[in-house]
Amino acid sequence: MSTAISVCHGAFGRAALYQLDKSLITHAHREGHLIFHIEGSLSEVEVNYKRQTVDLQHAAAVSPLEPHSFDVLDAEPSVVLVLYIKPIWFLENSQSAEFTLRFGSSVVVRTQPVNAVVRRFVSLLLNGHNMDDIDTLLFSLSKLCYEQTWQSVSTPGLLQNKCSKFSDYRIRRSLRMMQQCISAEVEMEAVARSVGLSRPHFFKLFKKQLGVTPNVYLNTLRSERAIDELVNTEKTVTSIAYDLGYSSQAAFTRFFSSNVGIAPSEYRRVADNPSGYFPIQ
Amino acid sequence: MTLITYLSRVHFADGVLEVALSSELELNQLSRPLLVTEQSAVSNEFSERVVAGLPFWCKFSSYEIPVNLNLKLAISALRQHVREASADVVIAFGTSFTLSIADASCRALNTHSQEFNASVSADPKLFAIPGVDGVPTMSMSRNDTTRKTRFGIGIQPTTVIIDPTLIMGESVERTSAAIADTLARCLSAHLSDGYNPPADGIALEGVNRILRNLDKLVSEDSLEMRRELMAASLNGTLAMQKETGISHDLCEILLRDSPRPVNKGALMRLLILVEVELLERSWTHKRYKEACNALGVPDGTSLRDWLSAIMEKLPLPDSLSKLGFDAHQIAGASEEFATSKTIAPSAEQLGHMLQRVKLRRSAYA
Repeated sequence: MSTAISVCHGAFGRAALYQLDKSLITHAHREGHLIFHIEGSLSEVEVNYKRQTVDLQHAAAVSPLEPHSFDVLDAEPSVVLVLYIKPIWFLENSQSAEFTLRFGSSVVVRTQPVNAVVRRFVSLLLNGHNMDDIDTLLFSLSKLCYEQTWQSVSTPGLLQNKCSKFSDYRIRRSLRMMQQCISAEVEMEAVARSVGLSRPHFFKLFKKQLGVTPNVYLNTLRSERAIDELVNTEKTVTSIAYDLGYSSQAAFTRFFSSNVGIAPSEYRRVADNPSGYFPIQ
Repeated sequence: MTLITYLSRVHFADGVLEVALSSELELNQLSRPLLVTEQSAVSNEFSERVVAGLPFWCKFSSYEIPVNLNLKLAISALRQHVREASADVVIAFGTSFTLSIADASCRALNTHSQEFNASVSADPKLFAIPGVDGVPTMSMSRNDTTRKTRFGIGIQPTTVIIDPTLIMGESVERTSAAIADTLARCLSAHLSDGYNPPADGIALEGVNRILRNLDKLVSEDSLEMRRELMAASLNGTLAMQKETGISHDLCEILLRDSPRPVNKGALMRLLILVEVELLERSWTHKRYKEACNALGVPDGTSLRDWLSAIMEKLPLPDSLSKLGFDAHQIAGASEEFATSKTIAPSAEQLGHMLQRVKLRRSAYA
């Protein structure tokens, strides 16, 4: 069974140490995402339909809303450090005029400085942590990785990494609709129709503008909402499941496990949100 | 000794709007935003992007300032809407007029919160999301009796979100007006006598940013140029915390009773020439040389002529009459300004100068 060893929430986003023995289906996050192998079985991450191994020499970097999945390669569980970095936090700390947390490539070579920060970070997560230390270390780590992923990008690669803004008004409206109807049974056919597009055209345009399908995006919103409620409310898991439109706790648990990696009750047990950075209800 | 105040949090990056707005609402634990803009003044895309930045837990309402309301009525109407919506934050976006109205309304609510219903937030915060004309420097919420001593305290929202992608595709006319307004504000702040060293530096940087890119700023609809314009505009706003200059005060008087819309940038373009002319008369030679050196005015060229030549490059209405002001309004504004400023010229002199701006464009070419 996959378990959470430590989960920490803060202004930066989330940091978690998971022991995973199951795969995660194709999903996405609105945060930037870094995955480091710590011990146990090696794993593979498929980022934007390209597979790569996550081991002691290589980590995976996933840009916001980049579809990815995760597989453990052997029967033994894999212990991984996963970071979900809020783009606005990264922007504020990096003092950049260009708002982006888009990695140049999805492969991060674990150099000596990267490994040193990873070790210190894991130690903080395991042995009790001071939020200031977490913040500082996380920024060092994310900046090291961010800059490294751009070093090897050639000019043609730049074009591939072009970030398309979701500038189409129909897509913006559909995003709003999905956000508002997250707890209902959302029919993509109806969403497409309400923004004046056929289903195939809607899916094509959505994918082109956001990089993920509408279904993956909706799952992203649901995962975010579920995590928020698990960490910041005292609602039962069953109640959260019903509020998100699931017919049973079991169905919700399956969804959560395959998108987040562990069961919702396990997440709640371990999650630490000392600063209350999540929304008020 | 002086009081230097820079309080607002400013997010400034390409495409940052949605994420910054969501993050600030979360950080401040705000859940009842009132979205405020001016009727027909912003694109659907701008409005939709603002809405897209609201987190799921926000229950928002919207208010559009009607086109024909004067300042006083607009402020009053918005106050009423804030109360009715029980808003804990006003998110003003689009024109500087909208931002000014929102600022004045929030100040009024914060000052007189005890007058209102207890269920209403006593201290609504203000988030400002400027369009091409930037964040206003304003003092309209101040009582007229304080006009002699007022300072350009600038708008002071809790948060300002500046996203250059929002102004892509703006027309040459609106862009030119924004350039003129920015240049005028930066120059006015830099040339005024107040002691505020950071503001002097910020103002000078704003002027240089405009001058470095003037031609491209007008003609090129590129992200880089839009970023430069918004950066310079922010400089103008921050620098004006030093003191509002003659051009700003005159502009405010002229705009106050005018039916909108008036091209404020075009108006500032003319009024800054009057301000420079007045300052030149009152300066010592040393002060004049210092100003010319700081701005890089070539030897043998007067500051006013230098500025005129720059302003002429902007395709904007070139007289007060073309902006819709008649002789009566100009005389009235001159009278009001002259009686409120101890060092101002007489109303007659000022009126003459304003008329000259109106009638003798060639004098500045």
